[in-house]
Amino acid sequence: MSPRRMNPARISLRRLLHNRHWYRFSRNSLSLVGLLMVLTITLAALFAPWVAPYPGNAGPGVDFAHASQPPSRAHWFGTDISGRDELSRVIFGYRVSLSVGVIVLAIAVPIGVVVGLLAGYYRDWVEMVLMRVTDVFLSVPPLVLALAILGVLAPSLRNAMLAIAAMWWPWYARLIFNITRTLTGQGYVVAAKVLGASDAHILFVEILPNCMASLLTKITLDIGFVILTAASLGFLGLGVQAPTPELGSMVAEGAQNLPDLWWMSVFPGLGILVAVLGFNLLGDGLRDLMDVEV
Amino acid sequence: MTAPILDIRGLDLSFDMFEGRSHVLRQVALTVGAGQRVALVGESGCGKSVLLRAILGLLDRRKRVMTGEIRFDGTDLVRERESGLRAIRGSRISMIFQDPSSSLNPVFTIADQLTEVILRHGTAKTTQAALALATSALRLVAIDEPERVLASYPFQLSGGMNQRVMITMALINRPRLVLADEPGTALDVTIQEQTLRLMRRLTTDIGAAVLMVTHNLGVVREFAEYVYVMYAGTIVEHGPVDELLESPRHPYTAALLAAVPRLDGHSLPRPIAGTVPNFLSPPPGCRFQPRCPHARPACDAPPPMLTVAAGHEVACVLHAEKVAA
Amino acid sequence: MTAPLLAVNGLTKHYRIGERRVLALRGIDLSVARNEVVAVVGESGSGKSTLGHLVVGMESPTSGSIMLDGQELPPRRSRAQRRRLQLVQQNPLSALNPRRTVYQSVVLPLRIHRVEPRSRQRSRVAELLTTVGLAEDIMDRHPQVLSGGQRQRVALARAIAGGPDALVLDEPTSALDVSVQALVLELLVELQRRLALSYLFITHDLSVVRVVAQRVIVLYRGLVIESGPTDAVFATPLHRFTQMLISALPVVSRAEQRLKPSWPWDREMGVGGAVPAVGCPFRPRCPYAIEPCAEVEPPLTPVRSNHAARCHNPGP
Repeated sequence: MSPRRMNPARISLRRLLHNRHWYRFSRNSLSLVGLLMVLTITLAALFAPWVAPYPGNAGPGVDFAHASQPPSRAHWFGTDISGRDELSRVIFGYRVSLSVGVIVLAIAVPIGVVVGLLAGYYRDWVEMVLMRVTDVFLSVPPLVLALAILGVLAPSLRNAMLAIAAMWWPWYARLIFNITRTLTGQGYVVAAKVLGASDAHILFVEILPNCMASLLTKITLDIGFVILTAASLGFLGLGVQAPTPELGSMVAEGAQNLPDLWWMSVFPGLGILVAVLGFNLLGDGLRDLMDVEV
Repeated sequence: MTAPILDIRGLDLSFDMFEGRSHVLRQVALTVGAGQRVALVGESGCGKSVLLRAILGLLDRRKRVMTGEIRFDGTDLVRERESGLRAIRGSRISMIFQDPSSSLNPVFTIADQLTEVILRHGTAKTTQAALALATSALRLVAIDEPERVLASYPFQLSGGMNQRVMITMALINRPRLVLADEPGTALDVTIQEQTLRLMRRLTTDIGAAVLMVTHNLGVVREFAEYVYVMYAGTIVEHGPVDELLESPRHPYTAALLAAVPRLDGHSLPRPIAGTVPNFLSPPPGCRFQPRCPHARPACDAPPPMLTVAAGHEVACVLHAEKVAA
Repeated sequence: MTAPLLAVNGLTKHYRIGERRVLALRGIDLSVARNEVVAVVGESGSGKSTLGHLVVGMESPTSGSIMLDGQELPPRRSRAQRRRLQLVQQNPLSALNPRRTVYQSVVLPLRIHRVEPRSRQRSRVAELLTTVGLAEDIMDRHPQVLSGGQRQRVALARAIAGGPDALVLDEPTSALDVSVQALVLELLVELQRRLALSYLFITHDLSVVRVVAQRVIVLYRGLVIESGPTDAVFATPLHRFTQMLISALPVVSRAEQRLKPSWPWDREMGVGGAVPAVGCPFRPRCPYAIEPCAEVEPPLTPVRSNHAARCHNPGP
């Protein structure tokens, strides 16, 4: 087989897939389904302007001639009361949902991780202070906390993300706290201490990389739930403001017209379902992979 | 000459893994006579623990490929179904594990665990009778306050105490064969000595045979009458313990003995050059060949098992030449 | 007579577990000279691991001191102090970070103590690996794919990378097979001679002690109960526990069996009981106990010039 005839893209994909972890992961069909769902949503969201049949409908445009139409060949998910194509709005809605998921976790995870690392490594009064603060945040029912924050700050997408991040970081603090407590006794951490390594080195080079497996699994599982939470806030009118498409607020809009114009709530709702389920299955698959390896 | 209680013949075992097929055991032949104490010695990864699990049918059936015979008291365990194996485990064949503190269930009391084993195999019919049996059995392993121990959880007892409980559990249904997986390895050497003596006495009392797996040649000498030496999934030598240890015939056995630190003399123990073979593509002939100082072309074929003395056999071409010469 | 390199005086350590106070070590005195190997032997619960942790600075003693070259080591040690006294642990798999390559693990002390400029670090690691008998090509591999013996050698390379004066070895060969143990022991002895290191060799395996150490200290429940030159302790063990320990060693030949002291194994003494509050801690298990043993804890008494035992009724 001459080198010229081999497709370089195919070679590298094969090498990627000829991996022990992929082998085990792919044995579980549900995990593959989850991966497929997540990939589909992500690609659709990334390439929304090209994938959506009516990209112009994502924004404020109106087309009253085609308002409130049930699903048809022209509009697979029907149209809303302003005449906008639901399918396109769902796809653009995924853009909003996924960005919310990513940004919220980009804020919450670093805060939680640092808190957990410090509390788990130094113990004593550091643990007492940090973990009690964490407990305070955990003791407030999540949505109530978000509502309270949004009561103080005006409802907007940005503030909704801050509010959700505020309720999310404690879970990471707790996860990393527990892992750090165990890892501090590990031989290589002891070795690093005896060698004279600085605390910063031990925390970020020795301990943190060994939390990655659990961390990535939790992040994957959480994206789905963050999306759901954002949708809940959107449903309550506290997140994104119209006319930006957001799955939760779309469900709310459509809810007023149930059961006649059912497609206005059902399809966005199914969109939320697919997102949450997809990330859940993917995360479960990752967790199973980890368990076996441990 | 009574029939052996355990007779393994031509046992080949492989596992299908992601990387390929791992040939873990090759043509293993091993016999344990009724009431005999036999040791299987080898280093970690040689397959000795896998062999014990194969005997009890504890290997994942989907991944294993096993041919050959494992005859226990007339029944071939390779072909036996799970229901049959379950009836044998714990009553006619029992097992003593390596680390007693982690092999006992931490959420049940000793009384619960002992009576469960007794009742499951019908050695006693009521809980009361089972408890009485358990109490007297614990006294036999020199536990002075059996009632206190019975009421305790494993974490409340010392390693030595847990080991005695495990021995009791293994012997209480008077099995014909006891499999012991490195007993005493996790214990202090003084407790290990007491444990070995106890096991010797008790198994002789109830007439049970023992197959003990270990990596410690000294323990072999303390406990066993007959020994099989295993290297990389093959039996390389077997014979009566005293004779084999005083005059080992296989290069691996000799190398293993030379690697043990001695109480006489001051020389450093000698390591064995090289590493264990890859089970995915093992050498076709003698598996010790790559590390053997006496390797020769004849070793490219699987070595024959030759008799060098009464009951003492070696799988090595060196002795074929001696016999021929 | 030169001062010892490492000296431990009156080292004591208590732990608080719930409401109880556990005495792990009581007033330990020991010293290790330059270029000397001293073995510390004991069973589980003897405090030998705690001793190792204290000497190497993982934990702080409740009282007592640890001196390196005449200077007392404070509870929080400086980098320079840490550099001189390093640790080799029992389990080589957990002693190496699974997420770091061999190179990254071994270069760590070089980086911390700025031993070599960056440009020379890679070649220095290669040298260190060769010193412990490993090929250079394992530098970019992770510890999980290495054998137990290879991992222990990587840990050893890391321990000597900073150029320490002394090593504390906490059961360095206990997790290894016999043939691999022989390999590592050979390496440890060679390194000790070549680099003029001192070793504090902590183990439960007496047979290893005999081929490696010049002096032996036997611990029982936190106390030194015997100390002396290795040959003397093996030839004429004074304390009854030492006799029991040697007698329990499983040996592979009749010749060795004849060298072991006898012990009345058939007299079943207690199995893992509590240490008595008064008198000798070994008394519940001792078939040779006499009256004073129940009343007074024996002092550490020298019998010959450098061989001492803490026993009212020493043997043979």
